[in-house]
Amino acid sequence: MITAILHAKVSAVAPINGIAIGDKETSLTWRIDFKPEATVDQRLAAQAVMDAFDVAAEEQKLQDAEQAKKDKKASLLSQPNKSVTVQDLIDLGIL
Amino acid sequence: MGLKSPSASDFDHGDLSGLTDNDHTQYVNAVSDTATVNLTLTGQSISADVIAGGTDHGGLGGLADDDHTQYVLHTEVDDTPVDGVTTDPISSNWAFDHEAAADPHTGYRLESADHSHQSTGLQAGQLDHGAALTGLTDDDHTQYLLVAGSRAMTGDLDMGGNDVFNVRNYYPDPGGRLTLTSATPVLVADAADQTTLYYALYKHDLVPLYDGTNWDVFRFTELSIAMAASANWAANSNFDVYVYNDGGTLRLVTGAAWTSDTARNESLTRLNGRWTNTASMTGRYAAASTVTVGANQGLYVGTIRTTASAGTTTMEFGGEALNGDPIRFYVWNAYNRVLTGGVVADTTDTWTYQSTTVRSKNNSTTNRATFVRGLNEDAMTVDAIVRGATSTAADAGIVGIGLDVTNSLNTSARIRSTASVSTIFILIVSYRGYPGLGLHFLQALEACAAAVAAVTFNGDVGVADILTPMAIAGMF
Repeated sequence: MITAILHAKVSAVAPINGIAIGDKETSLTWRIDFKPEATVDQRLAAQAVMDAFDVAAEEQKLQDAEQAKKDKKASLLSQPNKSVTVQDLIDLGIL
Repeated sequence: MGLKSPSASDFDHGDLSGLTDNDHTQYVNAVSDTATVNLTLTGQSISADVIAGGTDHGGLGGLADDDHTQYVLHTEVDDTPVDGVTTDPISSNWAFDHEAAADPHTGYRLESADHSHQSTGLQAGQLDHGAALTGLTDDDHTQYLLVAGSRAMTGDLDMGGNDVFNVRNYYPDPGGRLTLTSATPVLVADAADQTTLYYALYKHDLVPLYDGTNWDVFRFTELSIAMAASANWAANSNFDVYVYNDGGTLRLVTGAAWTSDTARNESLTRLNGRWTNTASMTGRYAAASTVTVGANQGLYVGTIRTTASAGTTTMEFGGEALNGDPIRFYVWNAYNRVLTGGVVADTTDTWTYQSTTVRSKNNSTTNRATFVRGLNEDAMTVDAIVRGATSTAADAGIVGIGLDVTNSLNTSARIRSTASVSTIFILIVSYRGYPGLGLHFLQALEACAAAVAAVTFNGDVGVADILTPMAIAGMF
């Protein structure tokens, strides 16, 4: 999931085929596979995004989101007569 | 002398002279007279011719009597004619009946007695076969093999555990293997970037070699070629390897470099089932030493591939590494090949790919097995396990194995994941086939089905018990 998040952030600033996280604890093992048409500026921008990527913070965000889903689910289950809204489904990741 | 007066008493007849005169004609003169009458003497008669002195033996009586004991009786002589005479068999060729069933000659050994020809005792007197007998070159003993080989065996030959060598036109598989470690014919661990090639004893120590007319089997000890840094073994090239009898010295030699990764420079010919050099060639057995190898006189034992360094070859079994630890099998044996395997595992945690263009797994050409094959006569197998995740129902991951390519999937080794939102997939893709002659590689590949969203692929995910390797096996 972390990789997909990084991919999304990098691809937002440069045309890429993909990224790789060799070892998430060592950013030197990370790699960006640019598309041929990527310019130097785009490559630099992409590299800056990667360098700034905080794995721990992103993982925390993922954990928080997951926890929010669980809380939402528990809340809904505790209110059997409550109508489920579209937002509820989005919050649960169903939509 | 005066005469006495005759007196009957003292007149002796003998005193008379003329006693020899024939004065008494009434008597028969025993000397000169012919008897005219028979005389009767004491009742016996004497024939006139007896009286006359001309006795005829046949006229005698008692001829059948055995009066002459000094003579052999006719009846005692063998009556068997020996010279054709039937009326009187007695001749110079007398034949006698030998006494049968008797032993009258005690000075001789009886045939029925022991003929052991012992060296001592009464039977002493051993014979020298070679000196005493004639006909020694005759084939009298058909139970024995002829050294000329013209008598076929009629049963199995038990050598009793003894060797058979110097056998001509008997050509077993050679007993050695090409290897990169001395006295280690089968490598099971890396022998990376080696500069000495060995032909080590494996099954046995025999090697059949052709001399232009016949095959001879030679016993060999480990052979080797020191190639270090020699430009004669150019980098990134294939070389065929032969065993050759250089005037009684067995040598491990290489031929010329192949003209390409997949094309031989010097062709091979199968002679009596053994691969040999088709034409006369230069065999190199040291950086500065060569020998001319006559046609068919080099026994082809394998092929090697040099690395990017001249005079260097390698056997690497892969392993786990960031971007993959590649397999390199650069030593291939023509005989006594063994199933050789390795694993290439990429320890990159994860990576993404968002393109329909097929590429190397994790964009790494070290997720690969590279190998050389001297003959294309057995199959290679590859199995790759891939773990990943899709992020949208509009896309899917595709993986495969490419033979000598990084940008297209082998038609028989590809598989696609289910397209789904945030679905983890595990795929297994396999290759079974004959890569061909010379240098080839099998590469793990990946792609997106639609490139709508990035597909995430996993290496080891940073977790100890997750790995997505490519395993390869083949005969080397």
